[in-house]
Amino acid sequence: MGAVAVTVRFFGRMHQLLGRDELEAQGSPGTIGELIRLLAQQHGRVIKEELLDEEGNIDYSYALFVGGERVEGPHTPLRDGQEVTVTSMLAGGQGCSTTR
Amino acid sequence: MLHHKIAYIDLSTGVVGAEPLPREWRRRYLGARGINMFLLHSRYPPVDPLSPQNPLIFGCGLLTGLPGFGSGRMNVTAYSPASGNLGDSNVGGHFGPELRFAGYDQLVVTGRSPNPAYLLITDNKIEIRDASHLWGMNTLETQQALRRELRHDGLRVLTIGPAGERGVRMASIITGPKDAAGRFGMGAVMGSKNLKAIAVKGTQDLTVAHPRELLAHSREQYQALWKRKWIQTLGHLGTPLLVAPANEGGWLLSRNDQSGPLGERGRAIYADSMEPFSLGMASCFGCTVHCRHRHRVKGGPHGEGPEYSVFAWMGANLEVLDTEYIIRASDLLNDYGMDVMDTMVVIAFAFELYQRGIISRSLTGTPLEWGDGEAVLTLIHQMAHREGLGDILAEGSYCLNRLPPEAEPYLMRVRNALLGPAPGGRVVKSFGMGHAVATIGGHLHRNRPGVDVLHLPPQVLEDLYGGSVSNDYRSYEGKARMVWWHELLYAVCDSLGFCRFQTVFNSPNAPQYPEYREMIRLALDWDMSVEELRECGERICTTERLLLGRIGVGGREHDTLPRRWFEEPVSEGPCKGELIERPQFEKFLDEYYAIHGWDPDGYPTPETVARLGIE
Repeated sequence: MGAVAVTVRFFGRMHQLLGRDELEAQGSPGTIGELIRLLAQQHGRVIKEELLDEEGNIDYSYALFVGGERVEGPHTPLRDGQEVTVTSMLAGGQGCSTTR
Repeated sequence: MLHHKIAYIDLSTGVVGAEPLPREWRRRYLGARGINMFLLHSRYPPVDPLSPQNPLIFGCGLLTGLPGFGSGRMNVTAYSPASGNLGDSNVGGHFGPELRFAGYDQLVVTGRSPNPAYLLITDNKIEIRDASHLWGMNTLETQQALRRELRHDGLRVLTIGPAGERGVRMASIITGPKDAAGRFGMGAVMGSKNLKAIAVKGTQDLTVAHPRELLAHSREQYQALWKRKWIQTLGHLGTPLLVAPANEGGWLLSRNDQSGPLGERGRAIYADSMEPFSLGMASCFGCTVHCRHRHRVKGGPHGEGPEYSVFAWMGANLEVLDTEYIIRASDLLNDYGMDVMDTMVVIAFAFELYQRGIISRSLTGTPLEWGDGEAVLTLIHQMAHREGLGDILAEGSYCLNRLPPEAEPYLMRVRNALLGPAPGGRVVKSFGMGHAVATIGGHLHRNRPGVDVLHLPPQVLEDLYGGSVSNDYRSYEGKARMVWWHELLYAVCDSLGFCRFQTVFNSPNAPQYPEYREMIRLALDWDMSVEELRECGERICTTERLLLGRIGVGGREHDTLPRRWFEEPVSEGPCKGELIERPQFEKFLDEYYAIHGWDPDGYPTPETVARLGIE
């Protein structure tokens, strides 16, 4: 697989936490999960800590979109040139498990 | 001792009376919305909403003013001049707690004062005073004038603005810079009574059954809430944070719900756009969240807000993609005392009529082009002063009486109420269908489900709702149960005086019945089970449904949606093609009525009425 250039746009809480609204992923992330881990290595752990829960799934406090489609989970594939948008949602917290 | 008095104020005769609020009412209807509805149903038959006989009821929640989950809230209820049927509006800020500190839980105002009047409420005392000098002032000026006049900076005031004085049908009642009993024209009812304002100052304690435990428990709850990301996010960005996922997800439609989402253009009005204007965040009484911006625009005074509703209804639906205009419009509406949603819905309707050539410049006086923020501000001024086209639009749903008949299909309304938080209704099926059955027509806050847009695991939804509910927001499966479940919870939340933003409105992990039960036990030493509390919710919703039946809009034929939602699919974006399918909608109604214990025509059965002990 060749290099995948992916632009990530941050709105809301992540924009505030990072102090910037856009990052370019340097590397070859094939999925959303890989992209998040890659960005965390390059731009700070906060990205992974915020966007993934303890089980490695997308944290329910966020809604991610690729090409206008809602990201279902960390295995959502990425293609070269795609833009990922990260927005805040009102949900989750403390794992959002089946036990309250 | 908690003070539980209800006061009756007849503005025609000047007679004021008060009596204890019966404990039995509180056990069965809790307070606020619940008791307001009980009173309307049991004592006040339907009347012309702008007549002196229409009771304007102000009700505090059972726990308003105590440590709790955003316990600064209360309800204002009357027959609605905006829809012609049931009107009810929930308002935050500081007025409700202050009213309780003065010794009153409920106020029932009837009659019409011969001259402009205001009420001054101090500890266990209510006076009717002349307000001639306040008539014509906007809402903030009125509050400032009363504080100066009465030499009390801590005075809390509910007031109408010029819109309420002129009978604008979507007139609101305002307290503080922006807290509004906004929907359904409660400000027009107040204006029709020549009642400009209610000022209150209370100094009495609310003593409770287990004060130390209540404080400790509340502290624990606050700390737990503040660890949650959704609370932190709301406390930093406010409700505008929802604009981004709504637009990116394709739910946030435009041009009076004709067009698809705004795509990249919409990013101009995401929550981040508030940054240059925001001075920090503020809250209602005793709230841990602080969800509203304090803002300043160039050349303008400080204000608060705006909320998601203005971003969605003016920003997206009118395509005014400029946050400064959105703030200015929000401030103007608060100053005039006009409801944001109804005003923006009827303005979007006018823009579409202009687009379609149904009305022209001979009526509008100026082009009404999508995205023209100045035109929106001009129409707000005209509506508040009842000038030109604004005089017609100030009639709300009734504006159709003064427009060509071909205008009718483009007015978004349910049960003759202008459609509240509508964007997304065709896409998110629980949102959309919830509008049809909301007991105050077209107002999603009666039952906004929301949780199915979060992509939660199916097991989370099943555990929460006690039955199978699809986690796909485009699916119809289980959505009747979802709407019913939220309806009951919100009826209880409102009636306790708590805030929607600290319950399952926003997150499945938020406080709900078990936490409410514990608060009630600590405050009142009442041992209410979760089942009893849920039954209070059922009783309140069914009472409201009975009221709708009495008014003549309580049957299945009235539980419907704008034609556009059934017949015009979303035109573009990620949700292209989505609409509400009629067969699925009818199935939803069948399921919804059955779960409520109502008959197939939508009327509560005698068995249900008897089970709930409704008079």
